[in-house]
Amino acid sequence: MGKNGHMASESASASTVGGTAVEELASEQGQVVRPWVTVVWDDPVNLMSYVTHVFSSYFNYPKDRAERLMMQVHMEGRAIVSSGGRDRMERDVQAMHSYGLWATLDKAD
Amino acid sequence: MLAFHRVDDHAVCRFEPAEINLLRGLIGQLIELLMESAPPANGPGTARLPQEFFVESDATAGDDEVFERLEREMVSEDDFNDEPSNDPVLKRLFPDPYPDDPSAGYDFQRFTHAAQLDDKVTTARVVLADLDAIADDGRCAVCGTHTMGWLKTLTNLRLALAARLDIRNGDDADQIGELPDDDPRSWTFSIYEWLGWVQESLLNAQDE
Repeated sequence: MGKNGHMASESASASTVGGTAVEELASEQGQVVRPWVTVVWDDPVNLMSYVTHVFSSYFNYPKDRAERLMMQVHMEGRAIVSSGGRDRMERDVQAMHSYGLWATLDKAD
Repeated sequence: MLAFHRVDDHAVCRFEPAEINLLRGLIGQLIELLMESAPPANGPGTARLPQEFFVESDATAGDDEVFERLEREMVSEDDFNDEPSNDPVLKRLFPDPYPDDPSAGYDFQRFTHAAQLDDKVTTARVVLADLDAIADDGRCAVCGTHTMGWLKTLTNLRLALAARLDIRNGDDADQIGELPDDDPRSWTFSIYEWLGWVQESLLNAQDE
């Protein structure tokens, strides 16, 4: 189904949103540190137009990217909306909660 | 209510007097619930908001049956004796960002709860201020800097009502929508839906 293919490609590109590619970062100790991701989960309350508005307002994503992420949340139940260091992801999660979206942190695989 | 539309840099709508009272009552209940969730003063990583954050609005003064009903909707009787953190509304308003790591989740809440609480109460008060400014004609003007406060507060109200109605998925919402009119949940659900309509209308006005 074309729609699924579309969302699979968004899934791949979503891991690089926010200008930070998901790649292994070397810590000062030389250990490999995996970046973190902000995951937004589907909920039956938030309006689709509002979720899109939040993604474009907070992350400054273009409207079409914000809509694709919103649709991924809606259709697949979750979407990675940003990635990076843990502190930054905690800020993003906190922001998503302030908008009333259900968000969690996870380590990037 | 007449839907929001764009007038210069404001979104403007018209509310009926009963709708203004309803919104004020709901927001008053929300703020009360949020304040009760505040950890004790001087706890680690916390800060209790000053007393003026409590709202003593005329609409919640309490001679109206509507607000007694609202209070029952917003403040769960079942959870009265529980820790505030077990309240399903508060759980949804302050989600656990680390469901698989209780220790990290505890630290996150400890260091962010005061700021999150402040944001929700402050934005709710932005909406109350705009409602207070409405004249007899019911014309409500929301400036650009207040728009996100309205959107957030409408969301928080809908999340609170949905938690009370136990709406966990789209099917739950459909089932409650089909309840007979004399079911008390039907009355709450109609408010939940109306709040969504107000929010959609405000979002549409942003795109005009």
